[in-house]
Amino acid sequence: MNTMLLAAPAPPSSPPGTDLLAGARAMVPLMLAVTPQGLSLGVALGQMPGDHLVAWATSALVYSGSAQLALMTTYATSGIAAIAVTLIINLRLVLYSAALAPRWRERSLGWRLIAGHLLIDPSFILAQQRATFSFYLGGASVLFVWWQVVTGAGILAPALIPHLDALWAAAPLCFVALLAGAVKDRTTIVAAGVALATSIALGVLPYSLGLVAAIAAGLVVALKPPAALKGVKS
Amino acid sequence: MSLWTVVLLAALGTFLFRIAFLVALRDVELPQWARRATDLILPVAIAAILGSAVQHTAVAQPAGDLIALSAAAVITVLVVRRTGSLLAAVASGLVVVALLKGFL
Repeated sequence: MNTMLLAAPAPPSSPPGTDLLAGARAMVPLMLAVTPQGLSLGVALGQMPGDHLVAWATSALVYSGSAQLALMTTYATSGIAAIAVTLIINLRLVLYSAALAPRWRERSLGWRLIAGHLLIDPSFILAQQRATFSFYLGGASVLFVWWQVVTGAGILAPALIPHLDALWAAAPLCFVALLAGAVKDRTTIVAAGVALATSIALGVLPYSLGLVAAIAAGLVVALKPPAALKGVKS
Repeated sequence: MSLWTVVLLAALGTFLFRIAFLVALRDVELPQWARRATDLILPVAIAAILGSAVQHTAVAQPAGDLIALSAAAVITVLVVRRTGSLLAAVASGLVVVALLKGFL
């Protein structure tokens, strides 16, 4: 199966400018996929009491859709709880950071800080497709700008948002396609299957905690010693 | 605590998560199980996010939407396996959803 879903492999010597553009182009399908979520999130944030500016600022500062929504809704109960819930939801970013650290070890501190702030699910997915820093930076930058635009549109001009009709399915279908490319052996199939089932079963939990539990369950099952996963080839 | 303070603290914590291994822990040698976890995090995270979307569709939208999404998912997988194109796969799936919405 072709696992290069987003971009063709680049020659090792491709110039940074070419890779920047290639990364931006490769991000387009993922930008389309997050658009309905970004618009809906913006509309939801805009309907909450309080300053629209601080609601929109979460898009640039926290830059994580489910965490943004959880933060703003939990704040009505407790500020400390809002911070805690945000951090629990974003805990997966530590693993993303660990996965990418070896590739960018030689980059300057400034570039690593910028790349880190742009790190979120779609940009991490993009980083798996091509190892160059420029490719990641091109895609992650346009996604960041696009996220500000779509959430801002939802917050500031909800009346202008068109009826999304079938577009609600864009995000889940995008993840279906990505998952089809990401499962490579029986271990990843088992891990992904457990995460999928757990996420569906615990989806009723508030603040996206089911998502966190699902990621933990998938990893725990896949990381069990070989005896516990008898017959599963890693 | 003001909302601005909460947002800034949450943003700072999230930023520290993002840069933890890129900056502070970049020379830390991960144990074998942790390296394996970083290899697995992509499919696991995608599956968890997909499950969340499926669950939301099941409880918050008409029953026909879940059927349409399931059928579209099959087409999406077939197209992505055939073409390797994410855009073509998602577009094909969306066409299936739009068509089935007319019947379901």
